[in-house]
Amino acid sequence: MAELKHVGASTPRKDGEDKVRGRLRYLADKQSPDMLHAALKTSPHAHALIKSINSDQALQAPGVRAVLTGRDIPGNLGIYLGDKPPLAKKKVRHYGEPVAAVVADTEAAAQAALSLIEVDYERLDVVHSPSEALSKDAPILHEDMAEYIHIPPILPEPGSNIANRTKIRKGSVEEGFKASETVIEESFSFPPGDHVAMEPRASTAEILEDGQVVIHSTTQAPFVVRSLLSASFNLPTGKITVITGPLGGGFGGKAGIQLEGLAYLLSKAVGGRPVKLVNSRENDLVSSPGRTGLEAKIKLGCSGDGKLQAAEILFCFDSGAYADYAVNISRAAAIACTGPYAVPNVWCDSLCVYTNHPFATAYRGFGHIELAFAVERAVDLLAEKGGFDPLELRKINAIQKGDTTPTQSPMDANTGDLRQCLDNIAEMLDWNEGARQEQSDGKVRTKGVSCFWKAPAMPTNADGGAILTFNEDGTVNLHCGVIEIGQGIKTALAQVLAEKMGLEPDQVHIINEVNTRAAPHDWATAASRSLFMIGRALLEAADDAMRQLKRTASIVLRCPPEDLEVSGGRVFLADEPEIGLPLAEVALGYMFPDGNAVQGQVIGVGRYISRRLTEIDPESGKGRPALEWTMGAQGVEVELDPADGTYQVLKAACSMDVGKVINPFLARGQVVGGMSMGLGFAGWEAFTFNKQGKMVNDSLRNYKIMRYGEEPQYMVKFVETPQRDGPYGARGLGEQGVLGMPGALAGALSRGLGIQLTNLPLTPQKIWEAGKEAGQ
Amino acid sequence: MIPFNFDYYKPESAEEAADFYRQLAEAGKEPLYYGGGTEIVTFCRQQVIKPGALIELKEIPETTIYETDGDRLNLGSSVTLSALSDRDEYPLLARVARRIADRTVRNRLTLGGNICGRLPYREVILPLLLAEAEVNLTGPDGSRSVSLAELFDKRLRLKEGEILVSLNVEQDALKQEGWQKRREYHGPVGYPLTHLVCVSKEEKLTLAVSGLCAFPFRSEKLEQLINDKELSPQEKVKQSPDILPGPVRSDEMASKEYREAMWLKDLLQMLGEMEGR
Repeated sequence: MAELKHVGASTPRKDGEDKVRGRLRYLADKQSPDMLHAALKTSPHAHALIKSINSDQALQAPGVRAVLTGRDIPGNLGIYLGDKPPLAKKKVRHYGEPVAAVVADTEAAAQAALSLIEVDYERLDVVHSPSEALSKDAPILHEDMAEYIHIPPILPEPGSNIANRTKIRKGSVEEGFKASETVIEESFSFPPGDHVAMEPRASTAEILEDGQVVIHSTTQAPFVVRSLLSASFNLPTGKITVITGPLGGGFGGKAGIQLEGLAYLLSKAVGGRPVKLVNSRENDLVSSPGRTGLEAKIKLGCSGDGKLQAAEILFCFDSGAYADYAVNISRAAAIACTGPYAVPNVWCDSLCVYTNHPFATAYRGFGHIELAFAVERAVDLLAEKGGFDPLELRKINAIQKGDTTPTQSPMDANTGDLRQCLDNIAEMLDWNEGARQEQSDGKVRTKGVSCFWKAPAMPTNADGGAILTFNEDGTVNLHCGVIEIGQGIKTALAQVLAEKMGLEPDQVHIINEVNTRAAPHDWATAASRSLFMIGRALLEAADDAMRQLKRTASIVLRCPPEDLEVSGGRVFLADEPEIGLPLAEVALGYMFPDGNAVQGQVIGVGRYISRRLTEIDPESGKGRPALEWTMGAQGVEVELDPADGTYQVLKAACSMDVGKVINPFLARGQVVGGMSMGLGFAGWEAFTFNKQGKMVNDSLRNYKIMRYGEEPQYMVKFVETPQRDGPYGARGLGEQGVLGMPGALAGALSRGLGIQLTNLPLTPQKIWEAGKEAGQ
Repeated sequence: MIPFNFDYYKPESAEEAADFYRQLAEAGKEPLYYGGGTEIVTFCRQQVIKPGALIELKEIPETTIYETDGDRLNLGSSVTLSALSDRDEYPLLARVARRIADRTVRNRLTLGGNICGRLPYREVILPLLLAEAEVNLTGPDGSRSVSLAELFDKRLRLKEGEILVSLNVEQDALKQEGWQKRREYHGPVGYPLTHLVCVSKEEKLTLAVSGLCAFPFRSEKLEQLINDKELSPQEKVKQSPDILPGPVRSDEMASKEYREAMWLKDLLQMLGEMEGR
């Protein structure tokens, strides 16, 4: 293959300068003269009946145009399961749930009116965890579950707090455990938390005179917003436009439907005038969804040689008050439940469970970071019991081509080289020099290792498209439905196109905004699939454009189109390169000296739809839901003081098989960002609740995220086993950096302490308590 | 955002400020003195408080001083924690200030605000209690100077409308080497789980503590205990929880058991390292 010029180069981000100099405009910055503003009143209780709401005083307040409560809104919203009223109706199910909305002339007027709304609550018993929710006399949080509309693959269980149950039944775990010399069984858990994207969510809605609904939103999925608004409010899809600019971080929290439904209803309440709803940080943390918690139980067995024989897994995802994406997260976790290991016999039940916690939506990793914590801990426990080196045990069982996944889908020739990734971790962390060293000051230096994998969890018909148009100067415009959420996707796609067409990256123009009426359809910017799918669509569009360019040029140059080449901004004869035309003369049609014009503008069109995906069987889980798997290994080196549980993460390493690195700098950035997020997930980022279920760390004063100066030394090494159906051999990598961090950190700290830690967050207090309990 | 209007006053002296306060309070405006404003902004945003007027203190000259006057250092209440962190006249205070929040926030936090605000940590007071500082106040009834020890009991017992204008610290207190240990839920930036500051004075250990109980304190009983020549360090530490001025705090950052265990550990370490100093 010829040397690549742009793919594999660390091309600077196209939006970088504008971003860091504060020139980029985000949705909250945008104003229009007739815009009204909304504010939300939220519940101070985790579970309570709404006895009455009195908005009379609020309606009289200066500048107030409307006050809405749940009474005014029929029906529920939901991505897969219609369980959430846009404003609470008969009761509130989580601390921070919106119960009323005010629309006013200014943001200040709207917020000031909130305190004038009187709500009378009657407190109900609070469900604090999945196990509480599943216990015999638990309050039923969704009494009307039987009436909820849902998509067929989701299987709610009315009369319980189970919103979905996904089953994996592969082989026979009885036989598998019989063949196992070493068996461990353990429970693991962690509470819910949040994405903490830099930009809080916002949405504006307007209804034009002809009935067109125009939504601006900080969404990762404008086309999902369009279709959900259509389904929820009986609006024709063709009458809805969703417009999205660049986002200040998403991490999954801006996928699905967020504030848009409520914004639409508020606009409707004021005769279609534009209404803007912007989350405060507190609303963004609590009222808008965060990420799931988990309670897991794993039984894992291996034979004398370390080969895994059976896995019996129960996942109970804490979805909080509403199901949102979590019913699919629990499903995705079942599909990937073993981690990237070859396990012949698997039994898994993965439940999405309601509790009175703030509810969860998609979060980076989508079930795979959650399952990875539990599975990696289980593998470490097995290694300890069976006397295996934890890294070796993982190598022995690394899934390879020909092995089957939990859904009995065979891994193909594109399978990543997990063993190489593990070898790289061993090298980066000096694993063989020893994983545990006691220091003279009483502290312990230890290492932990983990593996991870993820495939996009998306509908079987997830798709994307790309359209190329040209400018008079021969440069190209790249139209696609992908959202720039900070991942640098548009720059990477520009590189792919530049490579394909022999252009310079600055001859490819990206478009910061996605307008659903103009952009090609795109499933969503989520699941780490944009590079793969839009890259593919882009290559098809480029082929299409090049065909058209050659056709036009062939007329002028009087030669067969197939004898031409497109590169370096020209179309020319492959055998006589000096015979050719600049793109500028061809791309918008060619005009002869006498004035005759031929062919017209080049418009390149490409599309990609997922190949041969299926749903999974409701009883066995058998099926082929995964487009491509990206897997890898991670590890950390930690210095722990067992006396007080305090620790410092010194090094964090990741080796991942990504097929082809399109932009090394951006790719490393994605992975390092993921690692920092994963460390936070493991160590300190968690919602804390009091006995009444109220969240007590509901602001950034108390909800801690990693800061500059705290970070470990990051080491990243990519492996490139080509994804043959990916653009230039690339597969997705956006999420994967988070996945293995909780397992690696817990592994290191457990090794240091000499006690297996089984729940998160790994605070000094928790580590100290574990030590005390074990009698240290 | 702060969704309500309020009046904003910029007095040119402490007397004028106290006078504004009296008038505004009488008019039912519920005035607040405004230093760095970090707490006020948070609580106003959350609509937990709704002052009708804010009285700016940072432009009052008497509150902005940081200067040595004879044998005393005068510290104005509007001096920011960043300024305290950067100056080397009073190293122990700088060390303590540097642990509070982060640099960007310290650019706003003021000495007076940290002491007189609503958050219960008030960590800058720890070295000042040990230095036996004097406080200068101005209120609607006039000005007075009082010893900090006299005026501080869980918080600064100001009269209604009184302003903490400045503090004075004797020279010999400034150069004392201190021992310091601060713990957080997740460091280095965060509220203190516990914060101990110890200074040896005339061969006796003095100790001020924040975070452990619901308020910062310096305790005579505790100092008698830790200076008791008849007891071993282990015995001192063992007896210490019984004479704390309040129950050990339990909150979302740490349990009572962990806090107490860390207190015992840190106290023992302190006694060991301060031995002979």
